[in-house]
Amino acid sequence: MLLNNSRKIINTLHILEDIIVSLILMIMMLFSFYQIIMRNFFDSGFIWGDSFLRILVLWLGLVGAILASRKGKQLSIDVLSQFIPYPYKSYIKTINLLFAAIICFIISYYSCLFVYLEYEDATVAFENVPAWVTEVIIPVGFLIMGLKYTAQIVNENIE
Amino acid sequence: MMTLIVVLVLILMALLGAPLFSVIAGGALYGFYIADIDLMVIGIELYRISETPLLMALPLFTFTGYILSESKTSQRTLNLIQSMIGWLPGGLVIFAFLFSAVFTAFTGASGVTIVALGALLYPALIKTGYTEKFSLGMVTASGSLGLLLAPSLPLILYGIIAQQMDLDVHFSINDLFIAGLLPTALMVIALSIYAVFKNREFNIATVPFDKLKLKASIWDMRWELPMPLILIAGIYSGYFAISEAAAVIAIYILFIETMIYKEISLSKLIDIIRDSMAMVGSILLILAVSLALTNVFIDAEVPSKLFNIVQNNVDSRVSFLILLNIFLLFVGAILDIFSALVIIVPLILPVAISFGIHPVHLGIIFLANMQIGYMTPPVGINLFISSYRFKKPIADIYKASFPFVLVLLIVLIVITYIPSISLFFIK
Repeated sequence: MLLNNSRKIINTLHILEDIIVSLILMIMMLFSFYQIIMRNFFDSGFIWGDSFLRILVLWLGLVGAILASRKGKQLSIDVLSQFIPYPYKSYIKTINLLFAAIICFIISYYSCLFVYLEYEDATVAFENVPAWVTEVIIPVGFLIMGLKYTAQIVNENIE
Repeated sequence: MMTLIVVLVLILMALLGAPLFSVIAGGALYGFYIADIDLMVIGIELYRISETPLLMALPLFTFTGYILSESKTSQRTLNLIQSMIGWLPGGLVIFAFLFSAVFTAFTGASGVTIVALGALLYPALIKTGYTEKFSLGMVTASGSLGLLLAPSLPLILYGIIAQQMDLDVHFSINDLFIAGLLPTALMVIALSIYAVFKNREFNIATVPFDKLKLKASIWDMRWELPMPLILIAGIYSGYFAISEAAAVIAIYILFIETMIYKEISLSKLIDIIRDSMAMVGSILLILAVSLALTNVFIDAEVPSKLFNIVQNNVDSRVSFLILLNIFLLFVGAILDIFSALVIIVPLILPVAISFGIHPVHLGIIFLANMQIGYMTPPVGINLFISSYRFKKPIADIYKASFPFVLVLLIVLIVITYIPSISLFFIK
C-alpha cells in the first residue's frame, strides 16, 4: 500500500519534471529566435534577453541533472565495479548512492545560505527580477537530487 | 596527511562508479574547507553556469542531435551516399567517412553515428563486397570521426572551458571551428587512402552513375541538407552568434522532422527532450563543479607546481608533446570525453601554453587523442556500441578497428607536430 502510493507520487513527479524541462527548452528556443528576428530586422529586442537566456541554461542544466539522477544516468567512470563479485556489488552501489546523496545535501544546504544572503541583500539579476529567484533552483535542485539518491538507496535495499 | 586520505578516498569513489559530479564536488568542498573559505561559495560557483554566454549552444545542439538520430535522417544520408558514389571504386567508403564525420559533428560524439548511420552502412558495405572485418572496423572508426568538426559538443565545451580560464592567449570559438577543418580532412583522406589500398584486391562492385537516383536522393533530403549551410552562413556572416545558430537550427530541425517528414510523434518528442536534457544536465553539472575545483587548484597553486614538475623533467616542446600524447591516449582510454575535458583541460592548458603551444592547437590535439580513445580498450565506447549493435564479440571489434586506429595515430602525430595544420587560417 505504502509502496504503491509512493510509486504514484514518484510517477507524478516524473511527469512534472518532463513537463518543466520541455517548457524550459521550448521557451529557450522560441525566445532566442524572437531575439534574433527583432535584432536583425527591427533593430530592437529585450536588453535583458541575454541574461534571461543564460539563467534558463542554469535551470535547464539543473532540471536535466535531476532527470539524470533518475536512473543512474549521471556520468561516472566505473572501471572497478565490473571486477567486483556479485554479492558486494549491491553494497558498492549503496555506498555510491549514499556518497552522492550526502554531497547533494551539503551543496543544497550551503547554496541555500547563499541564496538567503542574496535575498537579504536584495541583489537584482536583471530589470526588477531579484537574483534569489533565479538562484533558488540550485538548493532546490540539489535537494531533489539528494532525495532521489536516498530513495534509490531505500529501493536498492528493499528489493 | 588528511588531504592525502581525502584525495585517495575520492579517487576510490570515482573508480567504484560514484557519480562523477559528486566526486568532483566533494574535492571542491574539501578544498574550500581547508582554505578556510565559507562553503557558501559553492552556490556562487554553480551560479557561474548562468554567466557563460556560449553555454546555451550545448542543450540546443544536443537536442538537435537527438532529433536527427531518432528520425530517418540516417537512411536518407545513406541513400545519398550510395547514389553519389556507386561508379567510383572505394567511393562508398570515402563518402561514408565524409558523411559520418558531418553526422557525428551534429549528433554529438556519443556513439550515435554507429547506432544510427553505421547500422545502415554495415549491410550496405557487406553487400558491395567489403569483408566483414573491414566493414566492422570502418563503421566503428567512423563513429567518432567528426569530433573536431563544428558544431561538435566536445569542441564547444573545450572552447568554453578554455575561455573560462582567463588565459593570456585569446581565441574565439570560431577559431576553434576553423582549426578543426584541416585535421578532419586529413583524417578522412588518410582513412580513405587506407580503405582503397586495402580493398584493391577485393572485387568491389561498382554501379554505373545514375543521375536520376542522385536527384531523387538529394530531393529526399532537401530539407536537411541546408542545415550545415545555415550554420556556416549564419556564423560567418555575423547574423547570429553560435548559441543563436544553435537555436535557429534546433527550431528548424524540430519543425521539419515533426511537421514535414512527420517522423517524430509528440510522445517520442518528450522522450527525446527527457533523454537529451538528462545528458545536458549531467554534463553541465560536472562542468560547474569542475570549474569550482579548478579555482581550488588555482588557489593552491596546483597548475604552477605541476608546471614546475613538468619543466624540471621535460626540456623541450617536442618531448612535452610526446608525453602529452601518451598521457592523453591513456586518459582517453579510461575517461569518457566530457569528464576528460572538464578534469584534464584546466590542468594541462596552462602548462601547454608555457611550452609555447597555442590553446587552439592544444584543443585539436586533445580531441584527436580522445577520438582515438573512443576505440581503445578498456573503456573505448565505440567498441562497446559496435559490439552491442552488430552482435559481435568485443575482441573481434578490437581486431577489426585496430588498423583504423593505426591510421588515425599517424594522423594524430602529424597534426600534433605540425601546428600549422590547425592554425593555418588563424592569425
